Amino acid sequence: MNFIINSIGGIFYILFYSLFKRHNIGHKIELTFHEIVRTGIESIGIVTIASILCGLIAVFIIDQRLGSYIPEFYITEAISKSVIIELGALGASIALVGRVGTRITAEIATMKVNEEIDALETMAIDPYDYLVYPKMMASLVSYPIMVVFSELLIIFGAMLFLVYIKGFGLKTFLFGIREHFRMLEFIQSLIKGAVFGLMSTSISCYFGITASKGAKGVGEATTNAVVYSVVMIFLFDYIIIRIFSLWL
Amino acid sequence: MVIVENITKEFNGRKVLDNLSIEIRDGEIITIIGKSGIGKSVLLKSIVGLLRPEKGRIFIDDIPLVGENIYLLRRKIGFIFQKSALIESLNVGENIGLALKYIRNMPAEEIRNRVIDALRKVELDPKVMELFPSNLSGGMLKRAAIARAIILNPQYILYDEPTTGLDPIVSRTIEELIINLNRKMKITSIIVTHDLNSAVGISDRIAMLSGGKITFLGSTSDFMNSSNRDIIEFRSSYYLKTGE
Ligand SMILES: Nc1ncnc2c1ncn2[C@@H]1O[C@H](COP(=O)(O)OP(=O)(O)OP(=O)(O)O)[C@@H](O)[C@H]1O
Ligand SMILES: [Mg+2]
Repeated sequence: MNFIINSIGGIFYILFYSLFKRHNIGHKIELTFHEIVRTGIESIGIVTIASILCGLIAVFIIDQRLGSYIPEFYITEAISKSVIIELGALGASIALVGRVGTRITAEIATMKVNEEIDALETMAIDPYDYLVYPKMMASLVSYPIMVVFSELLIIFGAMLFLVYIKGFGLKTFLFGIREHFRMLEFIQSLIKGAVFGLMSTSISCYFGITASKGAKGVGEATTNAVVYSVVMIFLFDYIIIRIFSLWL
Repeated sequence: MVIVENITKEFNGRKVLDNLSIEIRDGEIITIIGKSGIGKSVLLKSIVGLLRPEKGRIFIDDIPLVGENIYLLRRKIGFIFQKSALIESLNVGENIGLALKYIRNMPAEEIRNRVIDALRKVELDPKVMELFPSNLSGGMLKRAAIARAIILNPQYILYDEPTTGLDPIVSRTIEELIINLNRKMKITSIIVTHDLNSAVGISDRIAMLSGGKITFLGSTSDFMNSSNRDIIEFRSSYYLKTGE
């Protein structure tokens, strides 16, 4: 219990530190940009595959259960709503935790174990400024981008199934998607991306920095980072949905 | 001058340093020797504020090592880690120029020149810049770590086991480098090691760390002639191990 409370304290400390403190380090944009590119390269493959499959699965279930009762136009509504409101942000973020979050934890924990973080400190380089802050800023950009990318691909996966397997008209499908698009829902998904990104990145950094010595420390830190990230993502998903339900 | 005054550092209730005091004079090479696991690294890390002792005070040039001072005082101190601790994901040049780039905001060209200059001072070929730490030998790693420290013009360098794990010939060259930097750049050098030979070879003074305290402090010849129990024990076990 103590461990959980300490961890949550540490995670929020990193969050506020990154967002609100002055950072004494040069080349912030370069460091952040580097992280964004890295995140993109690392995760594009898994997000692509997971999203297309997610689209296929979702539309298959909707069609199988409801296809005989409702007109095809409403199937596109079900797809577009579920993707923009929930599936895109959740799917992309979980994939990013698995690929990028774990890498961040393992990388920082290894640096900790090898005393590289201490070495930064002796050179008067604040490890939070140099290692954590650029990753946090990068997540603020790269998670929402990956969320949009994932939404497009899930819809693409659904289209593949409906148009090429079920023989729906392409025009009807695209019209249905456009018709049911609501800006506020889309903005909600971007906000989810940004919040999930900040949360999971501060969690990954926290467990990396507090890793204990030895190879065992790195493994434990990574496991903790994934568990906490997944729980926090679902928790904040619920909170954001409740807030947006005031307008939607 | 570094003054360590009555510091106590414990881990999980076990005192590693127990009311320890020592004074380090400007310009000297002082070696603190002691058995493995006795707390040498803990003492050294306390002097740069990486570890905070529960009790006691440390002064560097009469400024207490507390709070914001720590960050200012660190600019005077270079630290050579036991395993060098270069950043694995950066090449040697980037490692050495790291603080110049991110803290001092120097232009790339100037950093490059200074890195080459630092590499010369530690007798490494400037081509090494492009290599990654995992591709360097133990001796080269030590030199690169020393270059990373001296590029910031420190007044003090703390060496944690600078010769441990190196073969005798490479050890010898690292010792010469430490002496050179001390003489030419007037860098006060604090070394911790259990390598008695190397301590005797390069130090102006030698201190013995035992049971959490400094149990002997004196010139190298005093050390060799001392009848202090810790020293006799340390010397005999050392020579037994190395067979000299
Ligand atoms: N961060 C830490 N947490 C808990 N215990 C520690 C920590 N750092 C050091 N210790 C303990 O303090 C004691 C002294 O460690 P230290 O690393 O200073 O030894 P040393 O004299 O440098 O030995 P070596 O020659 O092996 O480097 C050891 O028993 C070690 O277990
Ligand atoms: Mg040690």
